[in-house]
Amino acid sequence: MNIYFLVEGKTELKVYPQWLSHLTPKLSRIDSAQDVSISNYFLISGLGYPRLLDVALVNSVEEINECANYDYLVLVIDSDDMSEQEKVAEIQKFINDNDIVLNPSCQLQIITQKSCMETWFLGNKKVYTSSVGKHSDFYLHSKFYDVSQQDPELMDKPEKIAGSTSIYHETYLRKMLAEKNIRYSKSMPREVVETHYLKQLQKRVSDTQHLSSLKKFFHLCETISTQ
Amino acid sequence: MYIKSLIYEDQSTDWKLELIEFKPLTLLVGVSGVGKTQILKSLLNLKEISRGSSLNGLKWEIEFRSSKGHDYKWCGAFENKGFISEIISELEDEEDEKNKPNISNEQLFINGALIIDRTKEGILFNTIKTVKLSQQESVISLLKEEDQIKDIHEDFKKILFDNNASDSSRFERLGIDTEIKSKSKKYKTLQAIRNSDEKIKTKLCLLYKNQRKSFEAIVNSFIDIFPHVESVKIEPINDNNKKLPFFFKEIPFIQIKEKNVCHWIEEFKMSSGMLRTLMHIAELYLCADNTVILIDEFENSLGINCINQVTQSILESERNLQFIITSHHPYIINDMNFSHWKIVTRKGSTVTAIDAEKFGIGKSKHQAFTQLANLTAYSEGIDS
Repeated sequence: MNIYFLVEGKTELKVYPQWLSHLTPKLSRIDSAQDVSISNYFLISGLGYPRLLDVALVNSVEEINECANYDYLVLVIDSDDMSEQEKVAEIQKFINDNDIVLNPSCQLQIITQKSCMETWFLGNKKVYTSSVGKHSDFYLHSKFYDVSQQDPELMDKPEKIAGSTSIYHETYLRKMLAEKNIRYSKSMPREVVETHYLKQLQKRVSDTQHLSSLKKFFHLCETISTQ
Repeated sequence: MYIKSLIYEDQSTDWKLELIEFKPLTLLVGVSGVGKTQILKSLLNLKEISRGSSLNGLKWEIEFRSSKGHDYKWCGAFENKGFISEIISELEDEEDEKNKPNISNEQLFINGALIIDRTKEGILFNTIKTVKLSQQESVISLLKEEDQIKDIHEDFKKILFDNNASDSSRFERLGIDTEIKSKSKKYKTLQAIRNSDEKIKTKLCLLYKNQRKSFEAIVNSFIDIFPHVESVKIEPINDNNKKLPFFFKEIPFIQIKEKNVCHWIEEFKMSSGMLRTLMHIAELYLCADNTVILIDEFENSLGINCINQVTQSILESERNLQFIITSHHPYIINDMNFSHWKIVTRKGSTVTAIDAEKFGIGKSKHQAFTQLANLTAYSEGIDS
């Protein structure tokens, strides 16, 4: 079983290898897609949307077809302000419009991060502070939405916020973690890559119906591990 | 000259550059703060040392081929007087000048043979001890009149540094040369203009006067970038209203004519980006043969507009130009073959530059920049 991961941005580049070492321990990472042999995974970032589709997907498919030894192409993409179905439809349309043909022995799996990877990170109940002081930077955010009780994937953005839902989720995450003296940035995600953090997300997904897009990713990892 | 390799250390700050080998075109890539600009400054410091400067704590070993085709190795070290802040060193007075660091050792090899061997006790030049000379100046500066040295003393002058700050002020833009008439008699040929020590604008003016065909080559490159430009001239301003001060009347200025615009646009009314581009093309075309051009943050100085001109200049092999460039920009990085890249990383104060090929870049179907940005050595280039 060999997997080719094409992920959205730079944060994913730091988080997925750490997570995969726990979720799919039998797979070992290779630095070059051409080095694939048995139980390997290759992971590359498309450096953001739309480049992820316009440039990186096309090149990834070409690379996979040339190697002919990959079982899955896992495309990890933010849904941003779209629904998961809309995002998947957009990708399928892009593939059809551009005559992108993947080697039939390799299966495409689309994992949409709804709205973005930071939304998933919001699922750790242990890093949520329920009683926040009025002077805290997190106060208004905690009043707007309680991610420990409600599904983070369903959190919208306040009307005043001009940016996208994804940008708001990142802001929410940063301020939520700061309340616990944990620093987060897209380029240095720090704590969220750790096993204890991942375990809390797994617990959230198994205990509740929340974070359904993350659940699909965990399910895919189980499938890969059992094959 | 052609710089083959460099090992460099500033003992006063403990900053070290491990052996870096250069090519005709070297693109230094790496995250901010990793030391790319410092590598260029190291070469500029060696230029300063070749001109007689005393630079505290520096230790170097540089290999290069001279314009005349000889292989040189020059190494040496200044004594280390400890860390001195740059601000303090700017404020040093004459008394401090006398206390400048001495050179503790220096060697110069030509085609593998040791020509100069210097210790604290003195200088052996072709095995013969010289008279007592300043201990603060390099042998390249002290012995520049000697046949074996004078060419490389001239060669070090050919290291040019281009950063994004040049030619930006209005004062610089006006840069009037009142001696242009006499200079145009002195520098007639393209070669003479290229080899002169004149400023780039003066060189361009001399070219317009004496080598119109070559001037048009620069103009054509400029028009390729800005197709709305029809023509460029360097002439005194047309003063129909007699408002110009008399001393301006004979001074030539760069002027451009745009399509569907009836009048000529004078250089101080041109967009700064256009004027800068013209100057950069001129710099590339009018630098002396065998020049080493150091360009910091290529995207901000010469810029994306000029990338084709740079590539062309490199391909014109008879000019023997060498480029050492730094950049962060995906367009620049993608547009230059990865065989030219060196990935710069830093551990503490030790900087290393490694060929991109050694990281497997180039094997993948992905764009070169995608591969670079996915590389841990690039994205986490500083390891403290």
